[in-house]
Amino acid sequence: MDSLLILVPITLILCALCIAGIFWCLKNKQYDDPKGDAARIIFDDEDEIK
Amino acid sequence: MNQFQQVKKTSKTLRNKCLHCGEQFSFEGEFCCRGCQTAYELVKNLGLSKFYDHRKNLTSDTIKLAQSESAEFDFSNFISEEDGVNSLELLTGGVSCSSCIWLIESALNKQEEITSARLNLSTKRLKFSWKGDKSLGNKFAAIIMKMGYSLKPFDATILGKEFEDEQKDLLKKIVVSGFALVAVMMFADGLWVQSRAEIGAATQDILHWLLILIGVPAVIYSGSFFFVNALKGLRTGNANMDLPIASSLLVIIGLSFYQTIIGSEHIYLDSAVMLTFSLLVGRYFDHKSRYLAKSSALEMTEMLSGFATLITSSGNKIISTKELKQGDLVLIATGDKIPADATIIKGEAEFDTSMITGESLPKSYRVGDYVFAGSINLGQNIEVLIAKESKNSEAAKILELLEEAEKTKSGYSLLAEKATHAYIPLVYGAAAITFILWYFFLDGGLQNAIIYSACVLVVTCPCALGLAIPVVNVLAFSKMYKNGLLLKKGETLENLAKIDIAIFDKTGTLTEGNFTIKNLDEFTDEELKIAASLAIKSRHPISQAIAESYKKPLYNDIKVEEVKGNGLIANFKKQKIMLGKPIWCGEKYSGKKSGNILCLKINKSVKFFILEDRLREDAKATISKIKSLGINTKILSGDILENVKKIAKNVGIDEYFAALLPEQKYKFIENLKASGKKVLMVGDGLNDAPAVALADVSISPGSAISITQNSADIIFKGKKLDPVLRAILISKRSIVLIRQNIFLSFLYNFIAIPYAMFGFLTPVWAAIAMSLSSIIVVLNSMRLGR
Repeated sequence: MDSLLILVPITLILCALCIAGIFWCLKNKQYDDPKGDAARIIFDDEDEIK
Repeated sequence: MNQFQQVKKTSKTLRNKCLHCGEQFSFEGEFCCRGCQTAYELVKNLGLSKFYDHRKNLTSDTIKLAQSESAEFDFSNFISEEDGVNSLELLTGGVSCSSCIWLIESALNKQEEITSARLNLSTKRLKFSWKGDKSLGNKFAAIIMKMGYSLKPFDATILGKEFEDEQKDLLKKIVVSGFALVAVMMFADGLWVQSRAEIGAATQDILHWLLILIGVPAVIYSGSFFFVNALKGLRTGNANMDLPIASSLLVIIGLSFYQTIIGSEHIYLDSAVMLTFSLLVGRYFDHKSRYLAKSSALEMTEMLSGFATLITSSGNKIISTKELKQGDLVLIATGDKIPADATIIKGEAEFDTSMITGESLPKSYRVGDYVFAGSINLGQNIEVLIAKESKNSEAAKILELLEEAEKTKSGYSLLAEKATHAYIPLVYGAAAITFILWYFFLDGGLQNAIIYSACVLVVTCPCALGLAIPVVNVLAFSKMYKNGLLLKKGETLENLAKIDIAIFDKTGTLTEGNFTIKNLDEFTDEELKIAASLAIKSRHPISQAIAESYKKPLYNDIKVEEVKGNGLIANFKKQKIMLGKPIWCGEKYSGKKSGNILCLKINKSVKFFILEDRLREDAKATISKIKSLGINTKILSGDILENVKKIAKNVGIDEYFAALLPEQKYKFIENLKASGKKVLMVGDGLNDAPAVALADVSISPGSAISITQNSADIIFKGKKLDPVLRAILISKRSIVLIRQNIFLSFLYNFIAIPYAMFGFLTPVWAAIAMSLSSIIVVLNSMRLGR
């Protein structure tokens, strides 16, 4: 029973964090152009394309 | 032949690659044309030459135009008028199924002034025309908007954004319901294995409230899609697919609250979350496949819009082709595309008209000649007078024809719609009967009556039925992809498995579409070297074939003169060299005529090149295998009878039709379809495009022009014809599996519904049975193999 008091909040926090993380990715247009991003990863750091 | 040799053979054809555009060409220099050179210098001067380093990593260059979102509601600027009929083409948001089409179209058709109204579901474009005042346009648009749809003026950039937003929204909802499912399942798991006594009443109640705390907001947020659509349908008196989904979600939520409050043993909220999640995943795939269709339509329109050099009294001006008007004077440089149908008023040049007519050889045009939009100038710079605005030109007409055909294509989605219409009353009927049965006749009490009827709703939820088709589609897609095939629409599988007739285009489909010299061994090395040295100076396809046939270094110091439409002439090492049409060289070819003949005359010595378009190497074997599946094969070609006859004989096709215009090909297929046949069209040229769009299923080679590729259902890569056969085989197998899946899911319903109605199933078992049936369907689909 005591374990529930710890594990339930942990679950909820983890799930909330994951959702927030993915929403953040979406908002930052990380899912907009998967093909382009796949190519962009090869670019040198000096000139990021935004 | 070993692999190495094969690789060598295919890679040796072209030598130089343009520094700017990357196009391969076979003459001296770093650029394919002056335009590319100018562009390259411009990019370099701007300090952006890194572009060229990166470009090889990019799969496509995306041009993002400035996006302007229109808040105000006035479409009068977008109205086009023809013969007193006004028409408006708008992008429609919130359209989700074929009943939306029906709704919007019939709402418009009820208006007196409307002459026609059509909505394309894949591109979500609504086009309607009316007679009378222009200002009526806004009134009609208001009707559609009142029904809950959003309308935007049609513009490629906005269309892209709208779609991305919807996709993002769906993804968000999947994510929320997915994580909610994980959390809910974790708690529910413990709740299901322990009884109320074991776990303690208070603990169980807390966990139940926790489930509600997570599950209900998740279902309401993620499932809002279904609730909104169900409401939209109800408001117009149309029961759509989302109605039973929405109501079973609501019943389960209500029941969960009720049971938690009265402190009962189990709540069933987990099944609602699971339901939302799995349905959303299905919707996402559906959305994604429509995205493919949409982007191909965008590419099509891209062809129409580009830039043109307008000649004005105050100098040349570069404008968008959309702004071109009748009577404009336009400069067409070498390598440029004609932006709109026009008449030549200055200069004379050869044009590559293969996009329009499918003819592989360039045609010569002079002052006064009419040239069609899409033709490419292979000769010198010319000036033309625009005869038709690009919206009215031939190429635009073909595009319109394509869209028409696309709309009338799918009978499958219609069938699915009908099935749900029949299914919905059944689901509610069964649930209602269960309730009445238990409440009034079997004395089950209110709570049991609700639980049992909710069980029926869950059990009858067409989840397995919903998976039966998409899962097979996705697996078939990946299997096809591994076989060099790109499948664009799921419903293609169903149609392809049923075809009776396979129609092939000749050039570029049965053949490779490139000229090769047939009698290479008749020439000495020196003769070939001279011929190639001349030929490399010309962009003519036949010249290029000759240039490509000789791989060793060429004479660079030859001065070559090109005589338009006839051939090449040069003086070299005191020899007069002519390469061109036999008549022009003053000779006559006396051998058996087959393919194209080109004369090489060095002083007095005369020899003839015989050039032919080669068959794909496995064409004959593939055709015979397709025939053995009981499929009738035919050739429809725009080429002359002589050439078609020969190819038909070589591949073993008995029925062939030559010298057909695009409309004739279209008509031919239309007639076949009218007689109840299912037609597969395999073609690559623009002249095939309308036929490709009309056919029940169409396949295009990867070398096909983009318009045809866009309207084709399947694209295959490589030099072999075998993928066409593969596609047919995979689709036949897929359809068998889809049928089994549908049978399995119905079987499950037939067994489960009576159990649920007579109260043998608790909602847990109902949810488990439902998931189990889904798993069985997925496992069965896996038998398609990788």
